[in-house]
Amino acid sequence: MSQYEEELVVLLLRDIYGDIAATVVDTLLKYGRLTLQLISRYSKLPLATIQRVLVPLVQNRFVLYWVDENAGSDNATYLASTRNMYNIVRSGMFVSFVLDRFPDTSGAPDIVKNLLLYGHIRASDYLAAQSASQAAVSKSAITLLLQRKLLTTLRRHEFNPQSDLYMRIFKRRLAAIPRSKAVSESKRETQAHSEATEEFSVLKRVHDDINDGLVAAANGIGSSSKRAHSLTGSSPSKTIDESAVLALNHDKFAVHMRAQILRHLVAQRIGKVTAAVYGKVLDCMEPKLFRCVDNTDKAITVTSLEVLRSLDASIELASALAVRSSKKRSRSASSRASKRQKRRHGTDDSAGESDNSMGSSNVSDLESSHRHDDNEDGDDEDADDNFANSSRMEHLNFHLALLSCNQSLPFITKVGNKGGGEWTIDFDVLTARVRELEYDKLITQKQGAIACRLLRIIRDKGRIDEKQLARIALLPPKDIRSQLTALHEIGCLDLQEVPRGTDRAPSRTYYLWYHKPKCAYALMTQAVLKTMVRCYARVIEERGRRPSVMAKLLREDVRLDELNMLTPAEREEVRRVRGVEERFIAHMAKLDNLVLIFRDM
Amino acid sequence: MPSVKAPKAGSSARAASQPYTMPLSPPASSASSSGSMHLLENLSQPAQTMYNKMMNSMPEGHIYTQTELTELVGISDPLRLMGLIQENMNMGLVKMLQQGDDLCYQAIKKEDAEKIQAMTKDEAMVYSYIESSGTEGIWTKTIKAKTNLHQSVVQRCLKSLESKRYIKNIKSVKYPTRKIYMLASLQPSIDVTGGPWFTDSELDTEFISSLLSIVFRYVMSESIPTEDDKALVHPPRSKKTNRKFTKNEKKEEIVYDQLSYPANYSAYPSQTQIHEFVQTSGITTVELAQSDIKALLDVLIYDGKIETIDHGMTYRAILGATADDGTSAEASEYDSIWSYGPFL
Repeated sequence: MSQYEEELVVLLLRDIYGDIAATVVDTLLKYGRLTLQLISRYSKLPLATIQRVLVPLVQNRFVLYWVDENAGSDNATYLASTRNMYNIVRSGMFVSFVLDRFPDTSGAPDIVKNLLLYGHIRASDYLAAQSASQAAVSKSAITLLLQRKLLTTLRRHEFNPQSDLYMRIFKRRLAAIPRSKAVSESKRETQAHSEATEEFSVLKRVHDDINDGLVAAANGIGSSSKRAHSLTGSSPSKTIDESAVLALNHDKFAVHMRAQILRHLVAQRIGKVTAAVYGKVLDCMEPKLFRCVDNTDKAITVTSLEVLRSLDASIELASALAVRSSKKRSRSASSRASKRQKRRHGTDDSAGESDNSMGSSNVSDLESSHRHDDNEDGDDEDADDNFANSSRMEHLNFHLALLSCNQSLPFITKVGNKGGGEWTIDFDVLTARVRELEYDKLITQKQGAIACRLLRIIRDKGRIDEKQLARIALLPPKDIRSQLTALHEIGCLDLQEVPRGTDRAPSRTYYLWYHKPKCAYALMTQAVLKTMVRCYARVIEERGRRPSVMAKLLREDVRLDELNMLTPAEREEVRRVRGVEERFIAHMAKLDNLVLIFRDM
Repeated sequence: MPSVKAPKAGSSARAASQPYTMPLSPPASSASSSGSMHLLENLSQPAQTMYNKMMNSMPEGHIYTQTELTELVGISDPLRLMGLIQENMNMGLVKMLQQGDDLCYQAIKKEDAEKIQAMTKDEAMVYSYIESSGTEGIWTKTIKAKTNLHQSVVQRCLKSLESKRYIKNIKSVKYPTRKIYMLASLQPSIDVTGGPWFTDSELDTEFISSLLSIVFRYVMSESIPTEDDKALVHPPRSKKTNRKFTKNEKKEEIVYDQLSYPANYSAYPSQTQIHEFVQTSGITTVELAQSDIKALLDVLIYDGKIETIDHGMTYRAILGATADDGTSAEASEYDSIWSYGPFL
């Protein structure tokens, strides 16, 4: 069922790397693992051409190779890796992300662009290809990127397929366990499997080391960014290991994309200021998060102090707290609220370390001058003053409490009290909820609000029949039936038949509707990939309709001065093509967001 | 002495609150003449006295146990008592019921007894079953099964009873194709008519959607702070981006980035509050029970418009949700990122 992903990938390759590369990958995807001879036979291309074209494919790790030492011949087998090829879609976003975080002068965006082009580069080669001053800039940029783990080093084994690596480890472990009468064969195998899984996971995490790709600087020259030090914990006096091979780390990029999605969600559900706070929490956690799905047991915690320190001073935290206007609230409610506030502040003051209240000082005099409404209770004034004058830490805790109070969407959970409060994020729960919300949004757009209401009821109740559904949803059964069948067709719902008698007559069976999330998401992802294929095919088609203009655009002199070198008609054509490209590729980025949520997050 | 007939063994045990009426034994004398006194006249004197006492000493419909009857008429000999009761029963003036394990008796008005005496045996049987179904009503197929009469016989009885206006046909909401019968004087139960959402056995979708939007707007007003609810702390002057000054006004209009109630805010509306609001607002004349409000709130939750706090104690509107008529709970500009357009 990854048919559409394969189509997309072949399309991308055809456009960027050429027809032959696309054909080779197409053959590999169709037939699976092949040796060079077999590729040549099935694709009907000469051997030399294939060898030539495999070079960039292997360099970019689009095609992985494996040489089996036990087999007779020395031939390598090749395997196409759709996951790595899919990352081409994200390349533009990677570059813009780096441009956001690092200024252009630091050389970081250039490194990323070059890596996108070459797949992987040895550090020494890259530095050697530049002038001396440029090299120094690049060196510090590379060190920074390595410390942030946006770049990673490559080991030899990363060019091999994971299944083969695992098999090799397993066979070695199996051979290491001696045969004996006491231990049965299956027990040996299970033990070998568990040991091999452990070793394999260690192998996969070899880049998680803080100083991966870095060595101690000879004379203290290296990345001197204090910020990097506090975030990643590696010493500032580190520089790159010249012999390291560098490549882009898409896993880490996925972590950043996930953080962005979560921030958007907070901004939607709670507010902009809280979203900024949440963004800082995620930033504090980010150095310890190496990939989206990490099956380790230890949870990563962040303290309120850390977040407070990293918060921008200009972000105004306190003005987000609203208190009900005296017109609306009753005396009893307000006195209760004020008493509770007093108690809360009492305990907070004792527990939290009050940091410098830089935000509150210039704010409090404003606050007193702008007091318009008269409060009925004198108590309330005191309580409100307490809050306004209390430290920035308490304002921060207000926002963190907002993030953690919702049980159905727990953005953050409190786990301790050290350092003003320890917080952790349960990504599993959060991811499941984000997927649900996103899926609901999609269904609402595709089918309508009624269908979404039905889906939510079915999700809540498990298995339910039509009549019950109509009763709970307060909708007539006739209307519901068409919606349910439509949802069934797109794979959102499934039917369970419960026969009442021994015969399976339709009138004597109960039909229960239910929703399987994993299945539904997988089908939706396939639909999204199909749309991406169509978008990109359309872009290529539009370009293909104007071959002369597109060819002209590739000329050096035209690229430098488009305004004068093109006729007005050509300029119009270019404008139209660029418009189409922009629209569709931007749309593909949005769809890639969906793929990230449902598949990679 | 004719023995007292015990309730049928085959009938299932009823709850004590619902007395079981068994079909009457055929009256000793043929029922032909009219006149309410005629029935009484057929009774012996002590039986008449007993009947009158039963009718008059307690409010209508009172169910007498055997001990109560003994006290009432002052006859302690159970056999004689039974005899009097049986006489009354033969005339149809007393009905035997079962409450738990005990037998008890109920006096029937003379007019009702007359009615039943005037009917044929079959009609009387059918009528008694319909009567026992109370406000629920009973299905023709059930009547047929219980009386073991032929379909055409049952139909004939039903037709004659209906023409005499003793029973009526109603439409059920759960089973629209079934014919449900009940006594003409009774009102169908909520179960059958479906409750406040149904008018003429059809779901009133407009009524429901208007109620939904009203409830949503109320919850929204109570859970999302507006400009009225001031922030405790105003943004400082240095903040340039979100300020707008209106001319000639000393009071500056400040646009807030975010206004939220604190995490432990407790004044979100609860179900009772919402119920009160709906009732006092006079939107509808229909009586709405708490369970109806709960059903509405559940639908709003399933629409993704509100959510519960404290495991269902109170409700709060979700930021970004819109009511059907377009009023929104602060739909934020982030919504536009997520529209996938016609492509998907």
